[in-house]
Amino acid sequence: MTTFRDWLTEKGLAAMLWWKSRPGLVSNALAQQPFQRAESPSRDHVKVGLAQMRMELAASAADYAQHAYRLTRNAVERGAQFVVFPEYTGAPLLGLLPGVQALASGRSMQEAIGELTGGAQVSVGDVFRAVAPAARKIYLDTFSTLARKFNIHLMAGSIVLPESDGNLYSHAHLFAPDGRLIGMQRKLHLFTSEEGWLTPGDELRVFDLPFGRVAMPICMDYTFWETTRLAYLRGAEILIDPAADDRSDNEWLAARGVRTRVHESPCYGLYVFIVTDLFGLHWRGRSSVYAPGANGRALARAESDDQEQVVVCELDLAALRAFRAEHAPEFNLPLYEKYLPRVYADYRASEQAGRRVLSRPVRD
Amino acid sequence: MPKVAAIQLKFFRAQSVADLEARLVAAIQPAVDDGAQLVVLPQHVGLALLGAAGAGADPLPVLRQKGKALLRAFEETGAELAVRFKVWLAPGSIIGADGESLVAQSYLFAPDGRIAGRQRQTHLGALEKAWGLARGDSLDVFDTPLGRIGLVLGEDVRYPEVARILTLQGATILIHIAALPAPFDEQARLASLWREVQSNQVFGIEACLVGECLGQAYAGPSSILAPVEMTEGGRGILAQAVTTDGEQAVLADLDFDALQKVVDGYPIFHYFNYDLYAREFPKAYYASRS
Repeated sequence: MTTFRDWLTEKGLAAMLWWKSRPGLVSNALAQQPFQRAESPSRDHVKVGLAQMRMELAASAADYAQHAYRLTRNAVERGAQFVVFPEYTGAPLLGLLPGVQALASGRSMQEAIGELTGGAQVSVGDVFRAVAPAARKIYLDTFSTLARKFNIHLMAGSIVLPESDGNLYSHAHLFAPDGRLIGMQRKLHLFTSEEGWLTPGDELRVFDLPFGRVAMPICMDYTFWETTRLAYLRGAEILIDPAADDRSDNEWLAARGVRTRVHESPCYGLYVFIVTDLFGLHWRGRSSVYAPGANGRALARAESDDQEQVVVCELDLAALRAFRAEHAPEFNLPLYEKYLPRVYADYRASEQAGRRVLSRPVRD
Repeated sequence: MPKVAAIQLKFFRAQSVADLEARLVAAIQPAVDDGAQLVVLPQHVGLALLGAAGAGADPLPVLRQKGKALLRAFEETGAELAVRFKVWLAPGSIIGADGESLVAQSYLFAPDGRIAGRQRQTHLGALEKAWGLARGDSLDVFDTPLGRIGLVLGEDVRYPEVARILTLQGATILIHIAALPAPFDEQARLASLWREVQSNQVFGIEACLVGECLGQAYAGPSSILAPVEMTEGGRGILAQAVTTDGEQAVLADLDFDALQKVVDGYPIFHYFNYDLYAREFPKAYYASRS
């Protein structure tokens, strides 16, 4: 039963978050900043900017907007026409919640939540849900404003938000140079630490932009060739991989993402990382641009795996289209039709309480 | 723990079937001496018989004329080698004739010489297309006392559908019968069997042809692969040839307990988005044809 005290606390939190995300805060924070308008890209060439962002808790909408502004400005001043951000770019807005700032260093998210709530049964999902009304407004307002004022296409990274079905999803957002939100993509495959509080999406989308077709599945989605194959089959030319990875300081572990996927489904791959040491996390990664046929080497790469940095690189879509015409995969459709539906279904039925039990050698 | 070997072999033209057998005995013997129970040879090994069949610079007429006999001779050689060494043997591949069609085919022989499995290449490379090879229409896995094995032949490694179909049928050892273009490039090699081993969390054995074959230069190194979490230095390599252009046997033990721990700690297959695949793949694949 909800007590008067609970009601008051809930209303108080809602009022505080409303106040911290009230209209005008983002535009006021950016009002005095200079904006250089980017040149529009051609059909065949676009300069991309990968905003490797350091996750720091934002105490206010102004903090958040100015942080995103600095990274975007850096990219645009170096010629970027399409700026992309990493996974969990909405997470810094957890800093709007009272007490979180003081608890963010040197402990896990769950421990911090436990301390913050006095040991109440509160999950990571509950915290994202609590901050969502304010975070949604600030995040959308920030990136829409940046896209419009810099005259760029902008992929804003991802934010955790509840939807009308009551579930939490991780969404990536895409903005046009006039500031319109023109696309969203839910994360389709969860990471182990997200299971139980996030829900996977059920649709992969590909977006037509003036310079090419873009897909933006999120991080773990690239562990599965199925994601990028579907995007490729639907005509995607640029795959954006907004990532957050606590193991990417190992180059070989990081190679399991979009880097190897661009060879089987020939597209440009933009691998953009968020880095942090908050909440006991050690997210690392060197944001990179990959192309098929480049022998797996990055066309451009961040120098640091734990610092904020912007990587700018020109993509030659005409060259990609020529490569694809010459090296298009030749699928064996009857083979896939014969096996794929059955083997997925059989495996799904065979998982033992969610566990994959490997067939073993016969012991002597 | 099963001990397996990838034999990196230089292409040669055999003067006779006996000559081929003698060369392969010399290549396999050191691996067996070191305890290998499963031995894998590279792609195109059987094409050594083109020399014995009198093929010239263009082997296509001989393949068409003697393709059935070549296939039979290669199968007999594989069976004899398996029996001689009492090992499970994947003796590489050959292009031969099945009826009117040319096919690229690989095998798995049991230690008693029976054919435990055949696998045709299901996706064709440029030369194979130019020669009009028929592609395979099945992907099966083969149970052995060493583990359940899937054969990935040549170009098939470029298609992740192949490794997924095999591993979803329970394969825990993927064998790539390989001929990879020279020169060796470490970054490009990530897009070969290494990628499939990481994506499917299984062991991989990649045996590479080296030297010149049918006008194309090939390079190693051959390697035995596992998920990065269970390999020294986190590179995903259990053992690798020290040379990219010479002959060498590469051996490693396959630790299935360690592999199961990797799968339990990071259960990739648990996160399949089945409904998305079932709904979207059929129409996406078929739309790609138009």
